[in-house]
Amino acid sequence: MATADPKRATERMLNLLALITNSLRPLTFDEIMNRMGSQYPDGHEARRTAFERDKKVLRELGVPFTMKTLGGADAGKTAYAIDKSGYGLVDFGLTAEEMSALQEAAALVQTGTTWGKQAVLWLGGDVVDSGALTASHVPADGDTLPVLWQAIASSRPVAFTYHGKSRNVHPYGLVSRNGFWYLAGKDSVRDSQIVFRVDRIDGNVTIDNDSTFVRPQDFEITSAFARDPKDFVESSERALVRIDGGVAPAVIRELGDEAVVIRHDDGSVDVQVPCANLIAFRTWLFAMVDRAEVISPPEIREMVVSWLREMVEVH
Amino acid sequence: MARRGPRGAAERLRGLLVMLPWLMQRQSVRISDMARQFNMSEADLVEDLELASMCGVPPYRPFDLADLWIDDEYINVGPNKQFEQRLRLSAHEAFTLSVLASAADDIPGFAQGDHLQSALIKLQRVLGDNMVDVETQSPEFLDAVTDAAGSGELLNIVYWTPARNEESQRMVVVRSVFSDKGNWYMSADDSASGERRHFRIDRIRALEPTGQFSAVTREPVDIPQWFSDAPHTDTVVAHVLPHAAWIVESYPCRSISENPDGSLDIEMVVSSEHWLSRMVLRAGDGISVTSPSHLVDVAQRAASQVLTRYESKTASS
Repeated sequence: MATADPKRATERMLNLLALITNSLRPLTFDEIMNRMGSQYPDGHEARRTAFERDKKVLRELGVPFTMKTLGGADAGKTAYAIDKSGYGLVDFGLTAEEMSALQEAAALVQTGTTWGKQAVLWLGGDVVDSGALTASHVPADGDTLPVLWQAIASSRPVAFTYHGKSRNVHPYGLVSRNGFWYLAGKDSVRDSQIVFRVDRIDGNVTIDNDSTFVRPQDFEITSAFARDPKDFVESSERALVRIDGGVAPAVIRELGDEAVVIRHDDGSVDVQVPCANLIAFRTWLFAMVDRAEVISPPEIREMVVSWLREMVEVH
Repeated sequence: MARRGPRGAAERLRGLLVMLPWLMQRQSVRISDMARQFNMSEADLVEDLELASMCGVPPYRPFDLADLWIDDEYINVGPNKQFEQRLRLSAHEAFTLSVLASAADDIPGFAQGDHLQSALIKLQRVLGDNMVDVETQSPEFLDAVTDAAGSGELLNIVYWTPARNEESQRMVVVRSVFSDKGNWYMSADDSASGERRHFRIDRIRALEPTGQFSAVTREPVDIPQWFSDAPHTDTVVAHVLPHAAWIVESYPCRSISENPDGSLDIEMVVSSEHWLSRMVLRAGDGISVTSPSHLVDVAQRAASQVLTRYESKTASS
């Protein structure tokens, strides 16, 4: 059987592609078999099966095979063609400098896949070794991200399981942050914008090809995340914190000279920091372990002491 | 070089439908160059191109076939072309192109940002609106460190080591600069240890060029597998409550499993008890270490240590 040999199957599919691409009109199955018959197995059913398999492979590779039902003498027959609007001599008009920039980007950014380099080759560029002393590692492998990207690009809803629950989402954008990928979009059941961590999606993502959505015009991918609860917020509520000399320079660099209230002879400093966001304050303070101490106000100092006592007793 | 093994028809076809338009555009390419571009062995490449040269349209006379021939280590294309058309860019490729564009723009020393942006505008037909964002920090000394990697100038730095909560002075020769998981690092020859070390650039507290130079060595940038095989490490098993989930998003974990209530069971490699103390103090009741046994009470010990300071001094001393 022809398909048992990958070389013969490859040759046959290339010939099928060439035949349909070069034809001035859509061709029926019978016409294709008349011209390529010897390359397909004997018998109508076997030929049909092999032809359908070839068509499926070509479609999966991105060849825009189209079908048309004929009228007239061939009424009811299906004819096959290539949608030349989606497949042809794509010329994006990239300049040499633009192609060079894409090649350099593919050389500098490591995603853990070869898809970026394949894209550059697809565009007619070369895979280059930039020789640069800089690089960026942004892991972006697996099949989930491209499926989500496809849904975003085509404005189609997606369905997936997250935390054991089925979710229907209008996907707006993808963000890589701290080594994780996040999907920002609208949960159509909760009717609210939400961020999902992509690696926590269970199983496959399904694109709903029967409907589309409109992304809000004011959506910006760069601000898709809610404010980090560990970030300081400006407020008039401030704590005075004594910082040991060993870590004082770093803290001053972080907060600025204006935060320094007193500089002590031993190198320690007293600084004022916002404390309205207690999560942020705690995270900042305990990053210095025992090299920082809240001096005032008394209620914040007491709160820190109670946090510590609780940890000593509970753990 | 590509891995060996039987190649299926779809794989061969996919390769040819990318290679042939690329080749048609160039007319004549050295076999070794083309094999390297497409990460194939020269034997596989020649086999596939010979196969393609036998393909075309019925009745398959010589001028009905793809006009390809091999001559003196070169692959050549004649005037009768076939298979010039490009496949549609796959979702994997288009997505990755968007990732490259977003990430490359943040790389210091990437001087082609304007050309990259104008290329993306032209590619909008296949990439759509830019809806991929790679967040990367921009620490204060990133440009200075990158410049030093290129010039070979030695730098005096003050570096904060979180594991010991100490600052130290070092002279370094920067060899490469890279980002990983949103943070920037330098690989540098370190005078303090006499070894090549990785330093997180946002932990450099002060930097001073020395005016001394070392020869620049252009080695491939080697992005390490953090901690996994470092000496003197503990693998910590911990239970993390949902409100402290920032831990798994801030620090690399060896494994994460989510429980129905949203809490997480994690394994992480820890290189110092001081570092772990900081993390558990910051997370408060959001984390409890369950293994190894000598670190189960790390939060209690860390909290006691800090509490001692509060209880041994008056608030306004």
